[in-house]
Amino acid sequence: MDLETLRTTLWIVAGLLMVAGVVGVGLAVLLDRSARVEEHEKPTPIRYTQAAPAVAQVPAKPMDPEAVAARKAAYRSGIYVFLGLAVLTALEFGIAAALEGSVVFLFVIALVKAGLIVQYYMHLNRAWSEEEAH
Amino acid sequence: MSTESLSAYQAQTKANRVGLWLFFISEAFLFGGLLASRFYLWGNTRPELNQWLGLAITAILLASSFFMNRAETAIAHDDRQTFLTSLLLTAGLGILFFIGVVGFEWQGHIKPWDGVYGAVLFGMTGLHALHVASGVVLILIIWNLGRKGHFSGERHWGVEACAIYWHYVDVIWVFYYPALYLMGTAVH
Repeated sequence: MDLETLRTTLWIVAGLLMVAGVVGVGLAVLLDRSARVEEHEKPTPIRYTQAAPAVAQVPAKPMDPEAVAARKAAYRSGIYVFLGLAVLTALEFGIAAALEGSVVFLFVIALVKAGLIVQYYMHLNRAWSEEEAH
Repeated sequence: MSTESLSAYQAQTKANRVGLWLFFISEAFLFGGLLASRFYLWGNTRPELNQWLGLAITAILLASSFFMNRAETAIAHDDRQTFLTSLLLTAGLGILFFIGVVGFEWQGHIKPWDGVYGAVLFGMTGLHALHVASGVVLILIIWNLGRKGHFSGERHWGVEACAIYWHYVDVIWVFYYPALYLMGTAVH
């Protein structure tokens, strides 16, 4: 593959991933906003069933600012991890084209991606942590 | 919920988590065996696959993982609307990924009976697609329960387990994607 083709490919990939990232973040913001509007306008209807009596809870009430901030921070962390994964995937694609499918580099990137998912999305630390047992 | 009841639930959840991770370890041997067979049989070569399709389905699966994480975060913060919407988006993206593999990749020039390339490609993508399909079913079950009012910020082990399972399917693809599409020289 010549340099010009590689450059064009990288630009296309970067562009696609940026569009995907912007759409993802945009959707996330929209979802967050609609959820907040719902929360303040009408309480979430809770139906109590025999199958799960333990879910009984009081109807939703407006959250305190600290809880809202904590929720926003949690959402933001998910967005950062997604963006990191998107960038690493683009890098992976570029490296495969530039270095003729170098196994070592690609495997290292895959390990980093897997590490991000296991740590931040799968919460591996919760398996032995004394906290956050919900 | 009483403090004692919550405490018992938390203790049970801790045990559940360990059990789930043990299940993942056993699954890792299954997926790892297939990955090892790819390197043993293909060496530093790979079949000529549609690179754009591979990149597209990978991006779709990553996006689905993002929305799954969002759904779990939402229910942990009692944000039911975002929880339900994110679950539906996750399931939709999972179905898209499945269609990308089975409906497009499998219709390419390589067939399961095409020697080691066909066997390994269909073995790896088939087993993974099966897990994606079962994950989508789980997500839809969780969505239906959530719609009926199940789960809360304090009690949502069902959601957490489903989310971890989905992310596990994503982690498998993180290794399978470069192994199938990017590593080595295209020869077939």
